[in-house]
Amino acid sequence: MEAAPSQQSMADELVDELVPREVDWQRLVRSYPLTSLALAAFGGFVLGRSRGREMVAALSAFAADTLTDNLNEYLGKDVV
Amino acid sequence: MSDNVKPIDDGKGKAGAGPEAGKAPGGERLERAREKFSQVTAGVGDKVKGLGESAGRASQQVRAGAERTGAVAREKYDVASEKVRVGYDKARKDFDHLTQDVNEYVRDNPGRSVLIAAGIGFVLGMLLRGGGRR
Repeated sequence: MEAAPSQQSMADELVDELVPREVDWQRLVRSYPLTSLALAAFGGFVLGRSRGREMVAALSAFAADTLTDNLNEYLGKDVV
Repeated sequence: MSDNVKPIDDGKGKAGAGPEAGKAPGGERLERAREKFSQVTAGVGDKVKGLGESAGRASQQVRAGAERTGAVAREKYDVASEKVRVGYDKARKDFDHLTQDVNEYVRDNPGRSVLIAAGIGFVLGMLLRGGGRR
């Protein structure tokens, strides 16, 4: 079962942006799948505990801005 | 004058009967006491013997009951341990299958898998943070 190519590449691109270029993260994840998942979960846990609320606020603001821009572009003028 | 004198034989007979009459009752009493004592000791000995036999029978019954109980308990333990072992083997096989499926999915979709794991960790971190720092 293969996922949609756009979604798959988007996730990979996102991780490519977060991880340094020198690190071949895909090879590492394929070689050590469970360890990679555990490390990713741990990293997310630490991030959630330390900067969780700020990140959620930032993501919410980003989502609101994007939605507003798209809406204005759709309507042809700055409504919102 | 001769009328006042009593014959000697009467006195003698009376005098002779005194000590012999005192001896016979004492000896009979002793003999009776001995008989009674032997009867009592015989009775006690029989009772003690009977008690010993019944105690022996009771201990045999207790031992037999304990052996039966032990055998039943051992059998039930064997059945329970077998069930636990079968359940553990099944759970381990299911876990192995699940691990293989996860490995396969991660190899096919590395980026998505990592993001999902990071997202789950992030949510858990936020939930636990909210409970601890209020």
